[in-house]
Amino acid sequence: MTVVPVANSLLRAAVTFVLVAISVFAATPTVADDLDKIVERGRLVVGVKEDYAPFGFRNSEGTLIGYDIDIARAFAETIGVPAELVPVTSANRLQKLRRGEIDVVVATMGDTRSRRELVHMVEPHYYGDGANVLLAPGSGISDWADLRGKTLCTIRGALWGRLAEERLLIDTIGFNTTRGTSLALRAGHCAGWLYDEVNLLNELRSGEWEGYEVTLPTRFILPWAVAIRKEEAGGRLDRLLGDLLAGWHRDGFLQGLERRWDLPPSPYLKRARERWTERDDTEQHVCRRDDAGRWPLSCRETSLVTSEGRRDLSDMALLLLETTGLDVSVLYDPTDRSIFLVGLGLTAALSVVTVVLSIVLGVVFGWLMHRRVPVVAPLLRIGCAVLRMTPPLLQLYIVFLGLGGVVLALGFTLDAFTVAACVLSLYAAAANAVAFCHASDVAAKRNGALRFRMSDIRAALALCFAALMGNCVNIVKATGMASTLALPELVSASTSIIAEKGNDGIMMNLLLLAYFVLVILVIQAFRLLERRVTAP
Amino acid sequence: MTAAEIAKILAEWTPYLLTGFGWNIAVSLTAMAIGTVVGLLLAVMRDSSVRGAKSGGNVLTAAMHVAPTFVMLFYLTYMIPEQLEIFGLHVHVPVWLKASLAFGIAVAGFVSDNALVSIRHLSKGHIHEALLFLPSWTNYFLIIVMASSTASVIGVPEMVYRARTVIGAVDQIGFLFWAYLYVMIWFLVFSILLTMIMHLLRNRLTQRTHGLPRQDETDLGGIP
Repeated sequence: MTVVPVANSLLRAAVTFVLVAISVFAATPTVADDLDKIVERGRLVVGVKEDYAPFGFRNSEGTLIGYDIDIARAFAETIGVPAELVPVTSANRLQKLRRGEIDVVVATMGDTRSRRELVHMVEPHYYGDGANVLLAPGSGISDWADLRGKTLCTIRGALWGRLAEERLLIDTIGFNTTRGTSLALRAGHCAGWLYDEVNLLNELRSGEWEGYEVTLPTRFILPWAVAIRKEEAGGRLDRLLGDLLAGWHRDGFLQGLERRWDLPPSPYLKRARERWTERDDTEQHVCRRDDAGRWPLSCRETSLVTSEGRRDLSDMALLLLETTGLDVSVLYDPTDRSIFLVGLGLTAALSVVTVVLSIVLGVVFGWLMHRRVPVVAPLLRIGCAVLRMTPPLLQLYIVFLGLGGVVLALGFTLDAFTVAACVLSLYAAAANAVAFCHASDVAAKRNGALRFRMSDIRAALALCFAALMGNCVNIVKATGMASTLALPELVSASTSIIAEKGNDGIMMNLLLLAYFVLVILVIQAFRLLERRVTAP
Repeated sequence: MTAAEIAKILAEWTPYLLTGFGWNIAVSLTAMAIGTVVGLLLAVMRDSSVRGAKSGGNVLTAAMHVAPTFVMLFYLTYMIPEQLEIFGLHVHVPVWLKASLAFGIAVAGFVSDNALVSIRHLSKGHIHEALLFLPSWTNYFLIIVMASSTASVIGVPEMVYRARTVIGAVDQIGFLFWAYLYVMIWFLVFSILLTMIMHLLRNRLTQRTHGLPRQDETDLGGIP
């Protein structure tokens, strides 16, 4: 692992990597008709939530149940095949659908213009909801305006975070799961939890949130849609599902489900039922398909919320998008650009802090171990062994989520950057300390006992330089793990841009390229340092 | 929650968690298998006297050293479709295999370097020095098992992923810390056992080498 490659061959490798990757991603398979595929396969594969009670969640036996799941099963029953339920998240549901891994998404998904560019939304919608905030006890917040400049926790890939940032100038941090978000709120990482109102009301009723409240007026009201692949728009599957949904609005099936899952009565479903049961003079439904199979405009949602920022299209990015279909949204979309640049800055800062701290701590610990300081040295040896022999991801979870609550009780809050920097530094410092201790032992054997002074430390450093460099390069490569603490670093930034834009290929290559450059810069910095350390 | 309650819940879920650890081992072994084959090929290329093969092997090995496994997990998840069409054949690519590929890249870089050293020893007839590749390989396997916990972020049902499921199912404040700590202990026990086996192996081999310095313990230098 200490063999270090030549820098210019690395650059060549980076370019080759990206070229190969782009050619891989350019090839996408196409299928004629999804309904045929479903019948032939004998299963309807539906993407559903597994952590969103009462829409998609698991009961004590682990079975997926909920409002969305009942709808998924009813779809499958009508087609005459069993339903295969695949758990999805807000961040990956559209990608899974676009890649054909699932046939239908019924996963609490709001209908927006930007999502319509990626998938087809079946109409009518099957539910409607808006955003609200679960506020911590005694927050003193009585209006959305009071939240300006504050930070809210949210689910990554969910629409509200982006809307709150753009329209209300509220800062948000995104977590992967409902669980992560609620833990972060309890640990005091944010002033409130921004999420779908119905879900927050449901959380409140669980009795676990004593003193917490949902008191703001509903914001960003949004209809939820069943989604299918874009190629299926107007096709047989689209018509089948749309007709079923319209029928369920008329016969009260959807409101029945609402009662079954103990949801508060939704004004959206009530209004939809009135609309879809209304009849004209000829006793026919007002909302019925025309000859071309379209619903009348008056029955559709005409003013969709859009998550798009003001598009300030740079000419080059636009040209690229039109001619090649490559969506380099970080070049033209100001929101995406700032998400990406913030991510790049955080990853770079985390790398620098971690590398410096891990070397300083590594030298100090290594020295104490080398001097066999009573009590301290054996403890350090055990500590280093534990750190090196357990996964750093678990160390991050234990400190951030596990100790976060304890620290909060003492009146402090842990911030994700600090936790990531400390845990990753200590992890690398453990490896550095062992290397430095070993090098000091060797140097002492060669030149006699060392003293804690510059020249002796330099002699030991020169002996273990390659090992330290290898450890530091590895810890820079591992900084992406901070994304699991909802730190909006480069990996988080890239996946959240993909969740909105669907430009997987571009963002993933950009992410990899950024890391290649970062690692090469770190190697070069160590090269410069090496000359200083090993110089006589 | 009392200590007894926590212990009882953890004991109940232990078979479920250990099945997850089976996934960690399976993903890691697959990664080692893929990486070893690719790495050996690279080492042979680098050892050859053909100029193109030599530089090609060097460049590829360098790239594999730079690619971060955590980023590669996401990269491969997004870039490889679940159904892959190769020569008209539809191949299913499960998510655990993508994780193995991501780790396999790092393994290939490691094997390429270490196998090259062994190949050169072999050509001089130093068989025992060449065999020192084995303890290093085992050591790297340990590193990959530690790294395999990150496969949880792309949905591989390994032990950390399952710990999260258990935490969700138990749904008690304060349980999270103990669940993760418990999982951590399993990783620690596994590491200690494997390290002991590795030391035995290495000591056996170094006794027979031609005065080669014994490799120190600094190999466990963090996940790649």
